[in-house]
Amino acid sequence: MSNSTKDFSVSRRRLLKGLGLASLIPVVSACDSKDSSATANLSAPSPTQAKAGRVLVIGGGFGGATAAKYIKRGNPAISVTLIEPNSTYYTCPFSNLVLAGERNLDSIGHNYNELKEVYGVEVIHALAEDIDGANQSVKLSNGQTLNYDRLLLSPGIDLRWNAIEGYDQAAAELAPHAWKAGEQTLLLRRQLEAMEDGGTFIMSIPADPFRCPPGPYERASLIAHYFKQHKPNSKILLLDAKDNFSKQGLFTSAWQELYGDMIEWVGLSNDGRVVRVDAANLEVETEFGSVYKASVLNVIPPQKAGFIADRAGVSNEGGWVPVNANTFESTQVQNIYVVGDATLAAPMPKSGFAANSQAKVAAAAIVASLAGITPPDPYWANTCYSLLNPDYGISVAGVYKAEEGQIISIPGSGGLSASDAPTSIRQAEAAYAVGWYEAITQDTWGS
Amino acid sequence: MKGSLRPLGLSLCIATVVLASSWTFAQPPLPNLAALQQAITQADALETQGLNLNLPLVAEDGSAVPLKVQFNAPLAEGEWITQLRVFASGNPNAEVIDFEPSAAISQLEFSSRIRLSESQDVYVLASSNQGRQWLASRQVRVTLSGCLMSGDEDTTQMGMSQPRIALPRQAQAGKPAEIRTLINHPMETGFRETASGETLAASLVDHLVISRAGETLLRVKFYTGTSANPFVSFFLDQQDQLTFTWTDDQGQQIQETR
Ligand SMILES: Cc1cc2nc3c(=O)[nH]c(=O)nc-3n(C[C@H](O)[C@H](O)[C@H](O)COP(=O)(O)OP(=O)(O)OC[C@H]3O[C@@H](n4cnc5c(N)ncnc54)[C@H](O)[C@@H]3O)c2cc1C
Repeated sequence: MSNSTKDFSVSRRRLLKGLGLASLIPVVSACDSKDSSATANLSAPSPTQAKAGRVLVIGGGFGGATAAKYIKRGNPAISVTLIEPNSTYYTCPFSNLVLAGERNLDSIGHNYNELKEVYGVEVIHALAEDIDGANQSVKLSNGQTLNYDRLLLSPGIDLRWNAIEGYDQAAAELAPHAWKAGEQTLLLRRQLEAMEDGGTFIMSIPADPFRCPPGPYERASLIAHYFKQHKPNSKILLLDAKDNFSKQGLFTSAWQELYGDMIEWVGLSNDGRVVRVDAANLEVETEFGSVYKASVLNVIPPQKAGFIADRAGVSNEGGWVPVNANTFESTQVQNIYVVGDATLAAPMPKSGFAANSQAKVAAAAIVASLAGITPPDPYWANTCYSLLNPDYGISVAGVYKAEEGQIISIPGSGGLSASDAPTSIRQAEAAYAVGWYEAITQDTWGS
Repeated sequence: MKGSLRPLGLSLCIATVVLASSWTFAQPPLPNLAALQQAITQADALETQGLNLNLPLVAEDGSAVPLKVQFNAPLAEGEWITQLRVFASGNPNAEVIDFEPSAAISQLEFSSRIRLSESQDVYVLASSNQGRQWLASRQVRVTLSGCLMSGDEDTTQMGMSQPRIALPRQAQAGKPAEIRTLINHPMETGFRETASGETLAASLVDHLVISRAGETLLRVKFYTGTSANPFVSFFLDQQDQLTFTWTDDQGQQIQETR
């Protein structure tokens, strides 16, 4: 982790005491205690790793990095290999702050040193290209073929190119999605910086399910914050394929309060669904034929599970991965566990927090199954913070359990920021959001 | 489950709900399916092949679930599909939407957005002018995704407004092409209550008729199970000189000609 995040650093203890992380405390400790109870049963040392088992983890994002670490924590004798093409992982969480010029990209970059050095995870920087579920083997882009006893996939999302006419990889170089952090984030940032005052920023937002339901609206808010200071005559137009969105009431009233009429949102029923993109001219066309021209165009296209899920045979006709709720093992292929955005885990959202929480459940299930014991009952948590400006935060939280093979939201758990909260609460929630980021990246990558 | 199924190609998922002998519905009681039950005229001749009901397996927002119905079974000389009716077994009122094509429609593919109040089985029943019927069903799990909690109240908008029509951009003559329509209307069900406990009166768009030179090509009937701002998409071989007429439950009409 780079130095710049140090500015935001909050000690983990203080952080967990923070009110906004109240939901993190029982959950992390619940998971920890479950894990350690599982560990206790397992800690009879295995003589060799071969005996304890070999686990491959594909994807070093929120789900994969967490799983690799927690499998090792559950039973250090298990051999764990993480396969991830990039040596630095840039988080989507807080990438909207990079777009707004409030952080630099380095500050959201994380590496795999802790996994390698502290936990003894072998890390191979390559792409997994194919999976043979029957032979339990994975083929890598570097020519290697590896065998596994258990495989965990957390490949995140792939963008559905051409699901919107005209929006393909080449178009994304002109009209970025920035829905995977890194180069795309920097490209969109450069375009926003180059835009003249008085320009129009247009964002096309997909229907559910997609990665990070409140993400587009947080992005609009933080870009408005940037415009307000540097390009106050500019406009933001949100063209949405939905009529309802995450934390809608909180967002729309804060937009009014903070940004006047700078942000205009057009929902599905008012012809907000984009069906065609002309990236060269920065134009979009909606379902009923309205054409809009942008100064900067951000297209967030429809999504599906990362391609490796198809290769493994674990995805369904809708492009997502159905899993056994208790363990996150694929319902279609044995010994393959899948977590994170790639899965069908609703009512849990596709969030980094959810991926981290699911990875701990899957890790415990893998450790237990290699030891031939029953995994503990799972619980999961999620909190999605959104920043409306760097000092104005809101959140929605939920706690979940498995019931009759399905994930359900525990009745009465969770909640949404109050609509009439005073400024001090919004400020406090913005600080909790930073604390949340520090805690989850520490937990996932140790940095 | 008791009662024997007659052999005529009923798919399993239907068999678990329907008792063939009496055409009453099995336990647990699904009173809502009475409407579907009544619409089935020849229970022992129900077919399933060629009728497709497309819905997501998991819907994260039950207020607007994308629906597509397709029919492509072979038909007899002079036979055409007169009705495709959609029913939702778990909604307070099972009727969702009916598509009533004329013989002039060659590609039977209709889309809309529907309401599902909970996880449930959804059915579509197709009927031909010669009395044949087809039934298909699909299970949908409805969950409100954690991050989707919107936390705001619906604002009450009244009446129909803003009719929208999208004709194909570049259609080839004689080849079926998609036409989309939408009209703004709250589709108030009559089941909702305000914070003070008052029941909001039902208010619905009743139907949409698409015609050419006075001849009806398609009629679509809406119910409480149709989403607010009813959306309809369908295919026509010829897309010119069309009149679209929406009629609400007060008899008010909005008409557009393209
Ligand atoms: C703008 C934005 C803001 C967000 N804000 C938040 C937030 O505030 N809070 C929150 O909780 N969530 C947030 N999210 C969501 C969060 O980023 C995702 O939910 C999370 O990244 C999902 O984790 P994952 O492990 O499923 O996938 P990812 O984190 O995307 O990780 C997948 C990894 O797998 C690798 N990979 C893919 N295919 C292969 C292969 N074949 N072989 C090897 N490696 C492979 C990729 O390189 C990648 O590193 C946000 C998302 C966006 C876009």
